[in-house]
Amino acid sequence: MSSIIKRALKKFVKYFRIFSASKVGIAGLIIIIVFLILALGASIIAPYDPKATYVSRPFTPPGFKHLLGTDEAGRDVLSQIIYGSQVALIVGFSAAAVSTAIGTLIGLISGYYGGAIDTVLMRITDIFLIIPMLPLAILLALFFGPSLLNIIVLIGFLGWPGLARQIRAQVLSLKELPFVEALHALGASSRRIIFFHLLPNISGLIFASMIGGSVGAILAESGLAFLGLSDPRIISWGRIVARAIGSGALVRGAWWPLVFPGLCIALLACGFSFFSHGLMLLVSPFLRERR
Amino acid sequence: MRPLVETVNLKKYFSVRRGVARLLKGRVKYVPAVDDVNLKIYEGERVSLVGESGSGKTTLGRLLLRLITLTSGEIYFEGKNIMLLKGKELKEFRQKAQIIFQDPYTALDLRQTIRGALEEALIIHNLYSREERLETVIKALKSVGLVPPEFFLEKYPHELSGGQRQRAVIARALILNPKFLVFDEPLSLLDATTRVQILNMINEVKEKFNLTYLFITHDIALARYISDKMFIMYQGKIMEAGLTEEVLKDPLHPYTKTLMMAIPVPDPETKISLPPKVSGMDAYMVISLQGCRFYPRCMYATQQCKIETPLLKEVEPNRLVACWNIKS
Amino acid sequence: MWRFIVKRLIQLFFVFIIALTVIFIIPRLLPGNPAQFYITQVGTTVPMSEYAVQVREEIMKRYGLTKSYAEQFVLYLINTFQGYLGVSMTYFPRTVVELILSRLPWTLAIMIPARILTFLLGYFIGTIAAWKPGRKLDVVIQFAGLSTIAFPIFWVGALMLMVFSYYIPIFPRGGSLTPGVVHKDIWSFLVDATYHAALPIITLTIFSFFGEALIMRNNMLMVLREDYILTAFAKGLSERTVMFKHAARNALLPLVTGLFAGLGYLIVGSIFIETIFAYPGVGYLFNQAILLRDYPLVQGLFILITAITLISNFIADLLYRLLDPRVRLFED
Repeated sequence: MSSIIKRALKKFVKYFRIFSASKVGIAGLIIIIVFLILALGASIIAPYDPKATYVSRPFTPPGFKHLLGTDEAGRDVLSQIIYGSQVALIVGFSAAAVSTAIGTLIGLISGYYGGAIDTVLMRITDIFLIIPMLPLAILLALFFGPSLLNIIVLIGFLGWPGLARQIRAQVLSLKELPFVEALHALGASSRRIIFFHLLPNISGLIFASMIGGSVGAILAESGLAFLGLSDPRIISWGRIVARAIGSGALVRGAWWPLVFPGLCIALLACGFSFFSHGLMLLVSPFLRERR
Repeated sequence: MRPLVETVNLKKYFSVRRGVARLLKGRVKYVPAVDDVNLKIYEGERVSLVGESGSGKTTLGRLLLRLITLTSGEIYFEGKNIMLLKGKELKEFRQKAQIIFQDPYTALDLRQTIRGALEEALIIHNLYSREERLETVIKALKSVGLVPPEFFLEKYPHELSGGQRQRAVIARALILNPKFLVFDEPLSLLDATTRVQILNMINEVKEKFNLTYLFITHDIALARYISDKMFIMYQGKIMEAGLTEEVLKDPLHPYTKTLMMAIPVPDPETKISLPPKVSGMDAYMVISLQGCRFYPRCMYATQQCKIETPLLKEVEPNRLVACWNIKS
Repeated sequence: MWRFIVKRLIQLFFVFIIALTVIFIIPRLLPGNPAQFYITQVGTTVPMSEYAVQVREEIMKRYGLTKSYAEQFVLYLINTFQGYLGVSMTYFPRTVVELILSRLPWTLAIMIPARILTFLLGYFIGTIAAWKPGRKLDVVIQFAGLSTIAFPIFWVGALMLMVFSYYIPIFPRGGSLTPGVVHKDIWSFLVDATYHAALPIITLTIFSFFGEALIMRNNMLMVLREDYILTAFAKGLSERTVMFKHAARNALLPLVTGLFAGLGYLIVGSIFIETIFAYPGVGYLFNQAILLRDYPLVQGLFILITAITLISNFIADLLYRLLDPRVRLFED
């Protein structure tokens, strides 16, 4: 058992070495880790209750008492941002996980079986690719109600078609390799070939695109929240911005409830984007071709 | 005696299909990869299948293992039509017939250790307990010369040399104790010295496991070292069949003769003489479904060869030739 | 070519029908009948009981909600293709189409200039960046191209508005025309409209041109590796001629076809930009419809955006076929 852990550790160190050559990737990873710490330790780190109104006067500028100032209802912006990172990360990860799972499954089945199944699945994928996603997400969020779970499921269900196409292309080239034929000759079932052999061979791509998918999910969530489509019980960065603008932050010259949450969205999305960029270098054929 | 492997009028046509619409219009072009092949392989026989690239020899090998579907005809293994096998019987067949590929690198899953790859064969067929499986894997590695086996167990394919990988691929096929093997040009991608070693290894294990196999190669000279019987294939058709020694000593079909002439002779004094009509032609030229396939390249071709397809017939005991000019 | 067009049109029609079907089915999956659903939702946001009854009757009549689902569906498709998308609940009794058509010119007035500017800037800056890869401009373009996609567009818009309308007040604080001003002639109207549209256009352009420049740069680098570029240099042509006359022309193709494919993104972006700048286009209408839960209006806007996206994708495909002789080769 310990030898397995050792091997896994060795493998991890080896891959991390390759990955760490990408400065952009490392920067992304650090950004994600910082937000992860903020999200996990929110109750300890946040100086105020994020929902407590009139802690100080509305639109108090940044200072010692409120590092990032207060919003239109006198709430501490920093505390709201810290709690908001929970939502951003949860939505980012889980929506990306949903769409990665769907995309992977459809891509695998479509690529492996081919024929009529492939045609039908790819037609469906094309439809999803071409219909404008954000307006559809808005419409569906309106109908089903913008609860956190609904938002995650919605973003997840609308974000898979690109990945499905990528996975399918990979599977198409993989399944032509003799090792798949050898497995057929050995009597391996399709399920074994798909899940024990094809899936591990594209795991890098899947992981990298899941991280990349988080960028889209975070932006979609903040966009929906900005348009007023977010769970009223939770704190979302997009909504802090929308609320501040809606209550005259610009006229009052209060830039802080506007700049900081938006900056966090951009930072976290960049973090995921950079990290996935680094991962893509790791799994791209150019680097892996060293036999 | 019942042959181990037998094909009856086996045909495999690849369609050069362009869209569904074309199919409906009936304007589908077909390329015959295997055309009307009848062959018998008896238990204990080592047979080589010789042909140039594009002759359909690889397709034939895959058909025999039911890795691709056929267009028409029948394939029998131990007297059973393999295309009709299902469930348990199909699994049994999968255990008894194995294939070794040309490129050992792509024939292995790069994410799997050698042990994993070999063990998987046993797991699929639910053979042995956990401990016994490891033992069997070690035994299989030893038998193909991957010693010490402990050194190779946890290696990944990219950590091995080409020859070692091919040994591992052979071990994976042998671990199931197959009755019939197809070697699909297993030596052609290896370098010269490794080639000899693997060839010797195959000759060793064929005695030990009492193998019956079909060895596919484009190198007619290699057939001498590997087989007792041989088939010569050209554009999907068997042109000549017989005992290896006899065919090599006295090739009858004009195509076999041209193949023989391609063998380099290690004597600078020997003049190379090529029949004039052979030069510049290759197998990819337009295939006519009428007449002898070799007709456009044959120096002895007659009007009959252009119109009628010659059948494979026995011209001498144990010697079959498909040529209008060879009379028994 | 004609076969391709027909095939593509049938495909698009099919996708459009599916989009329509989805928004037909979903309200019917929810409890209560759709009209009831709309009305109760309105009741929570805008108290307008005498409207509610009228709206309900109008919806019931037009969509035949008492009939079977199949009949409703057919009726709905017929209505949609006849250009009837229902009545707005907040602007009752104005129809959805009427509202959209009155706002569409404003949206086009910022979208089209933004698209053209994005294209031109992307083309020039991308070409110059590829000229000397690894130099400062190139690094900036690469970095900005990768990171602007991670910026929320509403945030970029808010920053622009804050800086250029509040701190340095050179642009108006929103709207499409100066309120209360009666324009004497078309010119003063145009000047005023341009003045108001400038900041939204600049914002949309900044948001999208880095990505465009990055595409141009990458294409240029690919083209520059071709042998005919070396030949052009060998002929003694100046660097400038080779870059703009030989390389850039060939690298431009994806950008030209992207001219239309990018419209879909722009119209989505305009939802946010128009909201931020209180610019009375289709996007602003969309935002209001969301806030006031005006379902027929949201649906109508979704159908419009889908139609625009589908058509612009079709034009992009068509352009690609027309401009790239290699694609036509495979056409038979």
